[in-house]
Amino acid sequence: MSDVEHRVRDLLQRHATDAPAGATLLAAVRTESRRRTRRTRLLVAAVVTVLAGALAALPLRLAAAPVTVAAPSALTTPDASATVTFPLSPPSGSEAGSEAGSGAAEVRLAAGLPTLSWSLPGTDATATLTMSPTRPAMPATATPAAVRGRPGLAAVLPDDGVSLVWQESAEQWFELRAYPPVPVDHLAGTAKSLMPVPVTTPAPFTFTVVPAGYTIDNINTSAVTFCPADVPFDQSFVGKITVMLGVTGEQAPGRQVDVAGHPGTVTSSADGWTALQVDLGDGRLLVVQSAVRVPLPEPDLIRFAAGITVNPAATPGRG
Amino acid sequence: MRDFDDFVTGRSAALLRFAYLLTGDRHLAEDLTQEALVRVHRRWHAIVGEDGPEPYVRRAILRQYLSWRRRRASTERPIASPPDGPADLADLAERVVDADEMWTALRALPRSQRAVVVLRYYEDLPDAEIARLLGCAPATVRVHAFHALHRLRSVLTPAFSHPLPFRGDTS
Repeated sequence: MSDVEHRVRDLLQRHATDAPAGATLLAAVRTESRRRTRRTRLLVAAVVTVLAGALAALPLRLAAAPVTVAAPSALTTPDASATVTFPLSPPSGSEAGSEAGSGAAEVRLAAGLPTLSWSLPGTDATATLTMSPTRPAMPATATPAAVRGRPGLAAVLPDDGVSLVWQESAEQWFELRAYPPVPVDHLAGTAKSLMPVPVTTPAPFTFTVVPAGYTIDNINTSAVTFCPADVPFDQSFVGKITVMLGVTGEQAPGRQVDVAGHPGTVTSSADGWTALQVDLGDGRLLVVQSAVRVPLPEPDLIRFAAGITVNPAATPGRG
Repeated sequence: MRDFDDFVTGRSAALLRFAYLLTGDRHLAEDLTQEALVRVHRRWHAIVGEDGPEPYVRRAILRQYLSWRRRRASTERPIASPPDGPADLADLAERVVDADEMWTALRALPRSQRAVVVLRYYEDLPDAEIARLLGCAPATVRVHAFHALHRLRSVLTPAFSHPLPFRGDTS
């Protein structure tokens, strides 16, 4: 552990004592919990009253003309299964640098861009290779460098990483970064050793239906985000529909629903997001979080979740 | 629900410290902790498993901190209030200066980096467990830690404003 790490640990320990004492926390929790319970009961009572009134007023119509539920228009059949393909592979032997638990090179979709990460053998560094259709931004201090026999740029980044950028074809730009930094020659050697063997990783989930008009912009081992057309791609969940795999025991309280035979819980917040948590019965929890400006109607949210299959390679993520 | 009262009485201080280090704001820490405890209170018997309720509450605090919009972002204060109780004035002054440096540095970090710092150096969790909590690969945790340490190194104290050789980020 470095001196800085010791210093950070010491400061965190010392200043943790500046946290609030929470003398009134228990009373505040009880008050708020009672308020929410009352609100839930009132809401349920109001819904029951409205439904009872509606049913009383329309018994003959219901009997004469059974209600049919139209197929929701907010969902559509996906064009293809969600996968991430990266056209290059790390140099052979790179896996030797992977620590236990991290496995081999990791392919993911990050902010809409295929990304490959692996440990650089013989160093403490992690290499991240990103493919994009346009040239990645580089600092003004970038200098010309030959990369894989092509003209490229090399730069030490403001955050102390090192980066190489080059173009493989008309719409294939690559950026190779290393943190902590390694010498540019070392990184160029790594780039030269990249193999033209595509690496494909399936998303952690298979979808029978997906939100219409949304584009998948992030795929990792535990989550997939669906981005609306009016929201720029980034690596956050904000403004998107996110499907995550968690573990049971993390459920937030909410209204119970049935999702294809599995117990589900719907939770909403005043901020406008809704989360549907589905207990898969094997210790895992499927979470569909809708934090979009125009939320999915709840029937669509449930139908969307009911059509999700968790793939074997999926790993539970955020708690 | 006597057990719940005992749990809050016994563990709220530790939970508030965790939330405070994540948020850097005493009021927001109270909000996050209270919200987590309200959820626990409403389904206390369902979540008390072998590990007890504390892991659930900590995960709830972390989830809110990472995924939810900041509710009090505009009111966060960069300098922590002095701790309760008597303190030597010189020591208090030093602590306030340190706190100022630390909160300034921590507030400049993206939330994911800050979470990694707290989970790694306060909670002492291994990278694999942090990766599981954050929903990312251990390699991503190492990158977050590297960026965070780089920024903290440059602002914590003048002694650390000079480049130091990176000595690995695996505890």
